Amino acid sequence: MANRVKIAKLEAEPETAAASKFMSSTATVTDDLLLEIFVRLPNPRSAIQCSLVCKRWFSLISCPEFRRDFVHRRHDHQRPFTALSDRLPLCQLFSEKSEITRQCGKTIGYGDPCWISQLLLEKSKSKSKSKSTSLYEQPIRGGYGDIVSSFHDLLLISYSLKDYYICNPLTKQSVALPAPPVQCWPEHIKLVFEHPSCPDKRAGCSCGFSDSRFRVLLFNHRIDDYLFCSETGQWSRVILPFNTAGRWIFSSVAPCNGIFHFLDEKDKKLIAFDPFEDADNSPDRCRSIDLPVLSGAPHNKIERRLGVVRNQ
Amino acid sequence: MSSSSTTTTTTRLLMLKASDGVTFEVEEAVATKLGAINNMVEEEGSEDLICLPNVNGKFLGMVLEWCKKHANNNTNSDKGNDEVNKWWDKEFVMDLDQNTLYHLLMAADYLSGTELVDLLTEKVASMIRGKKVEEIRETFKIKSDFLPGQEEEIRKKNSWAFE
Repeated sequence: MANRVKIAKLEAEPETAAASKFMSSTATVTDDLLLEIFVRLPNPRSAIQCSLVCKRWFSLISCPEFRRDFVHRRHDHQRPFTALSDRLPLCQLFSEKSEITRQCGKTIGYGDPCWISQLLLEKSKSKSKSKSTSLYEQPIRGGYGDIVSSFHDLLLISYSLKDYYICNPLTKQSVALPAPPVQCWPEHIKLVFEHPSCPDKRAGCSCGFSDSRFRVLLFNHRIDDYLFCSETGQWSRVILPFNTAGRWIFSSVAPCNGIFHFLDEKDKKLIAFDPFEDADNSPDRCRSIDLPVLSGAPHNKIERRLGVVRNQ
Repeated sequence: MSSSSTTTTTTRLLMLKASDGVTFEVEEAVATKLGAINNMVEEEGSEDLICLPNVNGKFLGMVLEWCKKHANNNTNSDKGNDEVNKWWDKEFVMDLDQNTLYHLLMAADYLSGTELVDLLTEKVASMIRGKKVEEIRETFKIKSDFLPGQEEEIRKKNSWAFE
């Protein structure tokens, strides 16, 4: 009986064999070819849908290398607006809502409230905010917000002095941070992510918050500095290994590779602070890097900061 | 014939032997559209018979047909070449059934016919485009091998893509 079933199956195979061979988990098509196919899909939405077809497709589409290629390919093919897309390659992926893309192209300014409100209004039906300490993703909230910090493709957005969200403009998802223990100006808050699975920082693949650890640093002129930790979901006091009072120009903080880089004006040094190193006294937590002589003028400061972000 | 060193293109003929023994006689300029054959020709030089044990005659024939068209059109210095190639490519993939598409893709990949791989993968992508998950599975006869709940979880996580 069993044999007969087998034979029947074998006979039936020629019809369906090619098709299933084409793509299924046991398919003989190489991963490279499948990736070549997926990278030609028109948009992330389409790619995500494909990832649901079977496990093999899912694992291929989920891998950071693919996402990087996917984004870059789009980036190469169409450059509708340059200033913004340099900062946020994924903005192009809004092409499904081309109106928004076009509007973005006009406004260009990074952190421009005009732009962000357009972005946010698109998704204005917001759910009520989470009060619990655990972070969960929710659609991006509507209304006016200001981008106060960014890391890879994620933006830290402030709606008020207490109201902070981290959002991903690609997936249109966001997480709300609990209100910081002290109020401070939004520009004193910086975001840094750790991407253990994503060594290539050009990747631009930070799609899920839940998989990544991150820190938000709130540094305060006069009183204490606080660090928000994604694992505990709480703010806690942090002793920065240097005196922050009056020494910092806040625009010259560059979160990069999971490390905050500060430009110390006084000593003309670059200080690297690793918020993922938990022990306060660990020698690895803070390093100081001597700067080349050029760093004095304000113009150089700004350029330096960008350079650090892009070139790691 | 001692004129092989002259700069004018001598039309050298190569014999390509498919897995089922079918042989094709093709001009070198045509066959070298395929990276793998180009390499062999450059390495071995004098060998005129090339065995391709991984490619069936039927599909090798189609691949070579594609090569021929592209080689010919490229030697033409006509401006509208790109257009012609594009049009011809479109015709070439238009009515391919999945079985043929699959075998062509495998052959093109094996023979390092980069442009042809591009064309064929584009074709497959076009078969995926605009389809829902279930429709893609249907098209390619793929069975979901996710555990119960897994699929739902991914859907939830990426709900924006399924709106």
